[in-house]
Amino acid sequence: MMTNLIQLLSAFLGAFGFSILFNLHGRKLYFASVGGLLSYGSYLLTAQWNGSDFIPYFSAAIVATAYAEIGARILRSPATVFLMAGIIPLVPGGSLYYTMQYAVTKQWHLFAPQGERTIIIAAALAAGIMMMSSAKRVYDGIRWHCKN
Amino acid sequence: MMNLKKILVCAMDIGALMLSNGAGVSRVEDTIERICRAYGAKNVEVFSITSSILTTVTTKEGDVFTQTKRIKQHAIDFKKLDELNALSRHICFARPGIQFINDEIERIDKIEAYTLPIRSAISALIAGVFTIFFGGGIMEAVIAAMAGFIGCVLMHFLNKYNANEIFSNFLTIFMVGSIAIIAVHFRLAGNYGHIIIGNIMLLVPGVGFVNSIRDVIGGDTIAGMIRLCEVIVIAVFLAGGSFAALMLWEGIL
Repeated sequence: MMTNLIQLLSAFLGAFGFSILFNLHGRKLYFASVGGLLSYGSYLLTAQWNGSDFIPYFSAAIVATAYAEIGARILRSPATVFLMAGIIPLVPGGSLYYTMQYAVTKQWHLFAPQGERTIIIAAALAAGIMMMSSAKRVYDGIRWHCKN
Repeated sequence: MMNLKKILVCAMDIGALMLSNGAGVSRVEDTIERICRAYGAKNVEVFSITSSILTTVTTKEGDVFTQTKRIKQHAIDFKKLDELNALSRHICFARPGIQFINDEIERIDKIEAYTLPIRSAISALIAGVFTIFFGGGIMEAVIAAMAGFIGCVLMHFLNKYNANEIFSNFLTIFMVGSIAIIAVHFRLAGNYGHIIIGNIMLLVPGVGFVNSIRDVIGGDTIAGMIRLCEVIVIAVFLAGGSFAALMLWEGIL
């Protein structure tokens, strides 16, 4: 429990830091940072029920994208601005590093499973983002169609 | 029509600026097409990858104009991206004159990022926080934060003097690795891996990695593949840099 709280706090601070490096200001900065907290929180929540790598990262990406699209509507910015901060705590940076470490030190029996894990996480994130942003596009299309 | 020719130049400037500040390929294509159509183009064909844009406009009279643009530098700046987005909405809605659009583009291009001390302090925060996130202790986080601070300053000066991106990444992670290994040697921290990973989160193009796969799933296969190659090359050099530091200091210490 304590580890989870520390990780949530670090996810928030990490998203906040990256939002500053990406030159966000004011309300947009805080909104983006909360996205990091929210996406990692939903990752932790689904990881309790599902032991695989795919489902937790996939659903966390869906939550992050939905949050970013809502933020884009309220604060009038492109959704990417809020999406990046939400995705940062989920990015498989550590996993990518270990994969490369095993390749450089020629530990091929460890390289294969670690590389597979990195690719599965990245694919889960990308699939979650695509799923939600495509759904949003269809939603916009239906609304436009009903208006006219 | 003379006017549309100038609008094409403006739209390409906006598109190139968006692309170099971190917008997705499909968004850039969409923006250029909308702007040209708002000024009465009959047909607009835009093709873009992360390093280049190609646009052909057909006017109602049947004249055809083409322009290409090469984007060499990428630096994510969401403030600029935000303002460019607002500008392109305004252009499509109000159709202002050429002079106004050019002035706005020039103003947006000059928007400042946070100052170097703030960015260095924030880099230190990120490195420390992610060290803890990936299981490091307090002392490891403090050393990672110091390394992150120095790394940000080093990166700034390398970029200022036009260093190659891969070279500056290699050098920065080499320095971080050296600090980590020396700190562990003098028993200041327990595990140099955690310190290096905290700093790698700052440098690793994780966002680019996710974006590349997003491009491929979304249908922009070529753009996605080019970005994926960039990401893999940078990741290999980051791993190489930290292991070069490890091998060097193991021999000396």
